[in-house]
Amino acid sequence: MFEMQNMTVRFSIGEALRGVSLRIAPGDRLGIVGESGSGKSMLAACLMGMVPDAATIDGTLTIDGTNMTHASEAKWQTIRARRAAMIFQEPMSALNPLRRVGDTVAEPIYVHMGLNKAQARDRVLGLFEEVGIPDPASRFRMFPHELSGGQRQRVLIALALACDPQLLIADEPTTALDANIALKITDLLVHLSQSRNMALVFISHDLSAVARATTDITVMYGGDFVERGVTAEVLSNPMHPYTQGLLAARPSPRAVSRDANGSRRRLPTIPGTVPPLHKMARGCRFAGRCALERGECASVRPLPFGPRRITCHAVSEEMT
Amino acid sequence: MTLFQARGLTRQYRLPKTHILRPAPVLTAVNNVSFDIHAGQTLGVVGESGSGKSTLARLAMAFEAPNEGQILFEDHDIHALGAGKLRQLRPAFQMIFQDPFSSLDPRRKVGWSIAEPLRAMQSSAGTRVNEAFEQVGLHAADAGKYPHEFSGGQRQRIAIARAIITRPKLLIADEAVSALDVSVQAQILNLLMDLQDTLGIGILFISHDLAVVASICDSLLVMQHGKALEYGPATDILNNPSHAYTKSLLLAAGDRV
Repeated sequence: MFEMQNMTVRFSIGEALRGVSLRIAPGDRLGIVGESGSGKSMLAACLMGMVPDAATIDGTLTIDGTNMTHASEAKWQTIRARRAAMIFQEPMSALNPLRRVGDTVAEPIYVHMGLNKAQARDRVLGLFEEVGIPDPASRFRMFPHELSGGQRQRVLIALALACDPQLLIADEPTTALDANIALKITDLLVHLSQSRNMALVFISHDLSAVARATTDITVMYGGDFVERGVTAEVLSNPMHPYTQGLLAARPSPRAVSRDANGSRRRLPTIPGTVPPLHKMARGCRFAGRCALERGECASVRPLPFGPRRITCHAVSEEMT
Repeated sequence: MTLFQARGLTRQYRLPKTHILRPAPVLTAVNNVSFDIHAGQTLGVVGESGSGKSTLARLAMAFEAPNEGQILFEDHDIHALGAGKLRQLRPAFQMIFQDPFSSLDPRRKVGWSIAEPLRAMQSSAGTRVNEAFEQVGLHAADAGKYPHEFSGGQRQRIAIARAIITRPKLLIADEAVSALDVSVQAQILNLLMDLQDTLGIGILFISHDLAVVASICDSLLVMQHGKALEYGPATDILNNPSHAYTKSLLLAAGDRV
């Protein structure tokens, strides 16, 4: 239903996405991981038709067979809310503090579904129930500041579900939440995807949340897809050096912080930081930070290789 | 001598009145909490939002006074000291804040910002700014740049440089790595360990993420609703949690691949 072919998003300083291809079918649960600046949010913006005007787009995006690559804003407004909806990271700032949360959730229902006030209210109460908000009738009249962070995130999920989208994009939905609440929100998103046969794109740098929420995973770096596959397989046996680095850097709650000699155990890290777009290597984007880097890496772009479509010269040579 | 001792700390806040004739309700943010921090060691504080972690940090920094209990920093009761004495003691305990984007003045060069604690002490910066930059893995030349020229991880390094510029004996880090990517988080945690090993400073490390706390702390304090649920050596608590809440935090953090 959502199909992206060879999508490139180019700004004057460089490419934010470099020829990525993606298919999303109903009920799919896809995780997108990578550091800040790896292009995760730009991918989401592409799927929602929210690429900034300053960018030029190459490639094709089709939604249910309709080519949406260069679609007008008016056309996109028929897609958003009903075909694709999005929830954002910060539940504090995504809600209007001066409006009752019930009215906020009812708005897309008026606009897109043409229901009257009483029907919209019933629908909002049903949505609140579905996302696990207790006592929906009294929550309907509350203002955002009267709700906890977890409840606000549930309101935003209800808002995204208001017009029964086929695809829900969750951009860092659990990052701002406490660990226990984050687990509940993650489980709720999985449950909603299953019960509604709705596709879920779960963008996060929290690998444990992605492991819990998704069946498939795509690792991004510098606007490239560097490794893809079944979530459990990729996370238990990462093959691209970037995926390996990301997984190793994650601290373990069972870690003993000093070894037998009393000296501290350091965490493995990926050296350096994600460079800005205009300083990215022309070849493999990960060149300059990679332990396996060789001569051609910085200048020759590696082609996707093997079932995981890994883009790495060293790994693909080792495998052949 | 123990570097830092908190004894029976209680901090209450008065909430807005709900009724004109009734007394205002009271929120007990921190309820009878005690702990020690030794030089060269890290105490991790973990708990959900609203558990009193940040109140603890403000009490430890003497930004506000406890209703009951006391804090001894090298045997000085910091809440009983006069303002002048406290000011003299302040260079010895410094804080690293959560958000590296809002804790640096965007219109000042970072070298100016990190020398601020020295100006407050009325001592001259001299080579100390360059030294602090190098200690946190940046170049001395970076002092002439503005905050927007740095990435999130580099800004957190700058915030750490500002905290160590007075050569403190205790660092208080409140969610210091929570806003960072996993890989950058690991770099900053390693930097804190390096600084601790070379400078022998004690660290009070506050986070909602048990995995992050476990990787750096020697002892651990688990807080919920202002109370200390568990306190002791980190390995004991992590391997053998006695409280259901600690187990749920471990589960939340341990559900990793």
